[in-house]
Amino acid sequence: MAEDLVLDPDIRGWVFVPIIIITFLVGIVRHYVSVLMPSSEKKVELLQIQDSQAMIRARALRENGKYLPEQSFLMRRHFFNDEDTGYFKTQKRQAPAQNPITDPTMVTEMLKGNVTNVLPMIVIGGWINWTFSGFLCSKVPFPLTLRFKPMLQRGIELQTLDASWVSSASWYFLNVFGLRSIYTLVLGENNAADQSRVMQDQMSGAAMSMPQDPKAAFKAEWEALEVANHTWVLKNASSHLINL
Amino acid sequence: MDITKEIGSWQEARDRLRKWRDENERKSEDVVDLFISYIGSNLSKLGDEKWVVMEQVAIASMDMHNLPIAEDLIMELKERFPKSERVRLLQIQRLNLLGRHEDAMKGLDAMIDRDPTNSVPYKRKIAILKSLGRTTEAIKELSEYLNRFMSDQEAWSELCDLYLSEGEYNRAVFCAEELVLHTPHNFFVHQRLGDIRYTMGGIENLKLALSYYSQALKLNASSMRSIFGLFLSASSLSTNPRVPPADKKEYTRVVTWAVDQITKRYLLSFKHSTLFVSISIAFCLSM
Repeated sequence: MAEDLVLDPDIRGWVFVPIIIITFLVGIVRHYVSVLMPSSEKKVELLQIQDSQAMIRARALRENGKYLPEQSFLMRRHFFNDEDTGYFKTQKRQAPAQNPITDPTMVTEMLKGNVTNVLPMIVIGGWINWTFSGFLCSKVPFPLTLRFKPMLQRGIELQTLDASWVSSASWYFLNVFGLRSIYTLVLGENNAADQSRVMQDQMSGAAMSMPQDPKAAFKAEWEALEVANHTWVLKNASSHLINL
Repeated sequence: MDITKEIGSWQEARDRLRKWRDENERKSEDVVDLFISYIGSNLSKLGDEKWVVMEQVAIASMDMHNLPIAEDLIMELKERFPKSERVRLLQIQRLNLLGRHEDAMKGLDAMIDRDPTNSVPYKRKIAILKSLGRTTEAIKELSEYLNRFMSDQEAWSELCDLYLSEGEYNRAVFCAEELVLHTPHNFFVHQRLGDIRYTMGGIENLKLALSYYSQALKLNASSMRSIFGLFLSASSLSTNPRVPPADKKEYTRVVTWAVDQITKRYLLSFKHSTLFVSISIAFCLSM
């Protein structure tokens, strides 16, 4: 049944390709807008850097401490973990203002993020849905289950239609995610039109700085160091070498 | 050595400068020569790149003690970027060149106050102190820096060198161990630890030196220094009266193995050098 359906070639010229072009151009515009808008550079505090470097050093100690003699390892663990003088115990850090409403900088940050990324997506998605409604745009090359029908076939009320035929709105969303690699080619790395990366950034924390909760991180690292065993790998290194 | 003979036009000169910038090469003499011959008169043709080029040439000319060029460039950069920290760094470098080290250090302190997270002024200050021979102050500043930036490999390495120059072997060992923690698969860090431990002397240290040299050899079997280090520490241990005889046997085995390796290596490179090899072994044994 589905093989009998043939789409008007005008759809190809007037819908399919224009949606690609629209998505692409909107992405480029978004990139330049974010470049022009003065973004608040995340100013890293000295304490943050200190903490993150300490974490790196503690982790290196855990992983590679086996190359050091026992005394050196214990000395360093003592530096970090000791009850009275250890780094992870004595450094008091305030939990930063987690409440997004009261912290003004975070509000503007969120607002700017939303405006540049989510809003255009919604607006353009809605416009495309309104303009190019009532007909099929393309067919997905693999078979889909019926649960996808209401999502991908907005505006087409045909119960018997195969779920692989999709409307223009779904083609638009496909483009938004698919053109990511083309943006990398055109705009170079690290461009602001890369929406999915922005969403990933919002979910994970920053790698270099420890903004959210140094206390929890310290506690985790303290425990990890406490349970770390030290076996000196180089103990019989010379015998191993000779027998090689 | 004369680079102006190689380069024919200002475009080539600009490309060569860009290549050196990207690869972080500091060919100061060539940079200044290129600037004088080609770039200087064509600066306006470079567009926005000219500021970066000016910075590069300013640093190079200060390396070559060519003060007039440096001062001109710094003045222009300052007019264009009055609040820039990078330009400030160039000015401080100029103060160093003129011998006004105290002023330079005050400038660096001001930079640190303005932005304590920038590691460059700290390092420059320590470099100035080191060049003035004020090693103890340099050590103090460097330790404070490391208290904050604990994972900075270069800084640990530098501190290790400073301690070695002062003869503080224990602390040098601590610094060298930090480097092992971060890059344990690099044979050189193990070798350095072995060297320091061997220099410190004493049975425990010699044993540690032995293990470090063995590890260095495992990671890089062609390091002559490690083999000699292994040989020396093993032979000192095997001839030491306080070492129990069971261990001594082990150490003598190491010594024979090391001698074997050394002979093989030398014979590979010098075909007719049995005499040379036996002389070198005899020399080592007599030490």
